[in-house]
This record gives sequence, C-alpha cells and structure tokens, in this order.
Amino acid sequence: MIFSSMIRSARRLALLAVFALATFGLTGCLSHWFLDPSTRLQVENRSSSTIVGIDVVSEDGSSIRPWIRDTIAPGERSRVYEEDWVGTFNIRIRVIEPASGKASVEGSYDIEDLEFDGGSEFLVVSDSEKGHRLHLEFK
Amino acid sequence: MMKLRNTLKIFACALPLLAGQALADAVSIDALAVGGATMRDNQLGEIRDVLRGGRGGYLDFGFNYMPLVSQTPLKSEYGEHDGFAFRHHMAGFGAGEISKNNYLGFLLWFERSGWDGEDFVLFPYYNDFSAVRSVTTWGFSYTQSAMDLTVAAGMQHQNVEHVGDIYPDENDSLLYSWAHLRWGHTSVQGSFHRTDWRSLRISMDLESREVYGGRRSGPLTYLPNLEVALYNGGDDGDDSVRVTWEQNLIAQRLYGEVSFDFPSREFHSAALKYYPDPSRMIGFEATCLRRNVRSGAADLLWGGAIDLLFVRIGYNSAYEYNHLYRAKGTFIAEFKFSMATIDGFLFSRGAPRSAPMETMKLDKKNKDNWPKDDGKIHLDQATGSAPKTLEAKGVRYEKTTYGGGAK
Repeated sequence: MIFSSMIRSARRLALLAVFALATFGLTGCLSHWFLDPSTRLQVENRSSSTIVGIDVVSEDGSSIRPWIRDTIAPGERSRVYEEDWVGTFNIRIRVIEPASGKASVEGSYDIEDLEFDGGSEFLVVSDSEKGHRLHLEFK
Repeated sequence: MMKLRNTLKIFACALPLLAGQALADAVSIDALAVGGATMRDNQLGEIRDVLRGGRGGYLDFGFNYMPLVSQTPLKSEYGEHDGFAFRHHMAGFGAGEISKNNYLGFLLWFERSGWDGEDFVLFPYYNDFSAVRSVTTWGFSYTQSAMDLTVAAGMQHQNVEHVGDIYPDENDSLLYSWAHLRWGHTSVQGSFHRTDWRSLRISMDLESREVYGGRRSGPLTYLPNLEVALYNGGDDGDDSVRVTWEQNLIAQRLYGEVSFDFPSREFHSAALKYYPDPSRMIGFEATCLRRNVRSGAADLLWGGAIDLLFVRIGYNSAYEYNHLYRAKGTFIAEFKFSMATIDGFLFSRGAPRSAPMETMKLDKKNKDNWPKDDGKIHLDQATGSAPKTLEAKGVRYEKTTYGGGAK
C-alpha cells in the first residue's frame, strides 16, 4: 500500500519535473547547455610554412580583428584562444613561407565563409596538394 | 495508415518552420543602433492608446521566443554572427477616482531588448557583438471624465547595459521627458530631450468606441483614426513625418491601416486586420511594409500574424519587423499577456468594445418562485398597494447596570 502510494508520488514529481524542464527550456535557460556563445580555437600547423597570426577580416577587407597573435612553427600546436566569433566569417592566415636561396617570404591566405559553431574547435592546417594553398580541416 | 497520417501531419507542421528559419535574414547593426529610439517611440504609442480612456487599468508583459540561433543572426562587416535578438517587455497603468469624475493614475512601461550571443531569461552573455538596452517610461496622469480630458507627463530613461564596439558610440544613459494631452477624440503627445523636442504625435481617434462611452454600431463607428507623428532628425538628418490612417471597414471587426512617410511622400506600410470579436483578444493580420532597400520587389515585405491572448506568431509582419530590429524570413513567436480594463470591462489595447463575457446585461427583473403561503415576505407583495406590516417575534430583554435601573 505504502509502496504504491510512493510510486504515485514519484510519478507526480516526475511529471512536475518534466513540466518545469519544458518551461525553462522554453524560456531559453537550457540553451546554454548545448549552445556555446564563444569559440575556443586551437591550431595545429602541419604545413611547411610558419603561421604568424590568424585574423578575422571584414568583407570589404578594410578592417581586421586579430584572433591568434602567436607564431606556430611547422609541426607545432598553438595555445587555445577564446573569442566571441560564432558564425560565418572571412579568415586570414598570415604565414612566413620558406623560399629556396632567398630570405623567407611573408604572405597570407584568405579563407571565405569559414563556419565556427562555437565551443572547442581544433583546426589543422596543412599544405594543399594543389600547391601554393593551405588545406584547412576542423577535427 | 494512421501512423503515416500522423507522420505527414508532423512533417506538414515542421516544414514551414524549418523553411522559415532556413530563409531567415540577419538583423543589421544599423537596426540595432537605432533600437533605443524605436523602443521609446513604441512605448509612447502604446501609452497614447491606453490613455484614450484616461482611467481604468492596463497590464502587459511578454517576451519573444526564437529557439534557434539561425533565426535572428547578426550581420556585421565581419560576417554573420550566430545569436538571438530578444525583447522582454512589461507595462502597467492604473487610475483611481480621487473625487467625483477626477482620476489620478500612474503608468510604468519597461522594455529590455537587443541582441546577444546567448538566449537568456535575465542575465545575457554580453559578448563582443552584443547590444543590450532598456527603456523605462513612467509618469502620472490626471483625468477629468466629465470634460473627457486627460493630462499626463513623465520621464523616459534609456539605459545601455552593454554595446559592443562594432556599434556607433552612444551615451550610457539618456533621460527624456514626455507629456500627453487628450481632449475628447484628439490627443497631442510630445517627447523631449533637455530643451529639444524629439517627437510630436497628434492623434484624432474619431471612431466611436463603446468601451469609452461611444456607440456600439452605426456611422460614427466608421469615422477614421488619424495620426501624424513628427520626428526630429537631429543635427545630421532631416525631420520626418509619418501619417497613419486606421479605418474600421466592417463592424469594428475588420480594419485597414495605411501609413505614408513625408517629406519623401512614400508609402510606408499597410495592414488588413481581422478581429473575430471587437474586444481584439484574438486577431489575424496581413501586412505589407516598405523596407527601403530599393531593389524592386524585395522592397516590399509581405507578411502576416496570428495574435491570440497568450501568444502571437508572426512571419514577416510589420509589427515584428518594427519591434524586433527588422527581423524577417523567420517565424517569430511572442508569449505575452495584455489586457486593459475600464469599469470592470476587459478588452485588449486599442479595442472599441469589451469582451462579450463582460457585456451581458440582465433584462429580467428579479422574481422569486417560492409558494405564497409560506409565511415569508415576497417581492411582489412588497410592491403591492396595501401597506405591509412586519411582526417580529422574539425575546425582549432589558440591559441593567450596577447602581442604576433599567434603561
């Protein structure tokens, strides 16, 4: 008798909990659990160039916001840099490329409409098979 | 078979929602930058509506609900940021009778809105691209109901909680004053910053409204409601004027509304609104709005909304576009409650009549069905021609005190 009444109470409590959960979910409280409003970016450089910085560039190219100000030698990983870039942006990777018989050449690669979903992003940069290009892959 | 039908039903419901969010346009930095001025003007417009009677009360609260980050992303020069445009609002007005025909009231409007990287209830994330502002409007009103006159005045506070550096610079806190004068169907409302006027709204609500003591039907209910709103363009811009004409088309259930902008002499918006009941608790609207993007057909935004007592769902409708940073291309839900009252009758803001449950009148006199010979006094006996006498049966007693006799 007592056991069945306890089950009934537990069911009512569960129903109340589900209702409370739905209500809080509706008001946006729970979206924090599965949406990250910032991106924690770490870059591994598997290319032959040295990465000297990663910036977000405005669509007209007139304005630049730095994201990573660090030198990442070939074969190295950067620290984790957290910024509020969540969405789709144009990225510029600044590199120093080795040049045969001469001093190194400084250059940059622009990647358009790169999507960042928020949370931890591990970006692997490698040489492209097509040459004079970088291959980017989120892992 | 049943299972397949249910699946099809779910799919049919989900399809427009998914399509709606997939085609959603981002809100712009420009729209967010002028959000404070828009909020202030919207609040004063609502106050004008509520003060049509000058007495009674009004209660409103609500918030927009858009659960997906892709519904209202932010478009900046750097790209498209995932996040949420939000709007939380509440308002209250109450006026009490201080002497015969004289009413003193207090009103308070509050709205907090903007864009943030997170969906939230109270505490935003405040990221580098957030813009969170609030506007509070308060004031006192005095109404002389015999003269049909209302005078109200108060202050408006615009507070910036957080604005990212991608937005134009603005002051942390701005203080405005406002004043409202209504006499009969005409009202004049002004907003001021220090010694400068910011806006001036002249309204002629000629339509006869039963809820304010007017007609229930007839030609007077078909008179137009006109509004002329003047906006100060400041040092850099030109002053502008918006003329709005609201017209009862059928029995205070179907309304048409059109507005034009001057000096550009351009169409601004039009709406066709249907209220199944004139108390406006439920409404359906179709709207067309000029977006000023100057690209042919894209310049006009066609949309609609369903407004129920506790929830409103709009798609590209003029109200959502104007109140939520020109958001378009997505379904926007608003959970809300809004109700006005006068003399115990309930209606929605701007409605010409009260809700039907409150307007039932008893046209039968009280009548009792008890047998006449039960020894009790009956209503029809009391109104008869012969004088009636009452005989009380009971115990008579006398109160005594010490040192004294009977009193």
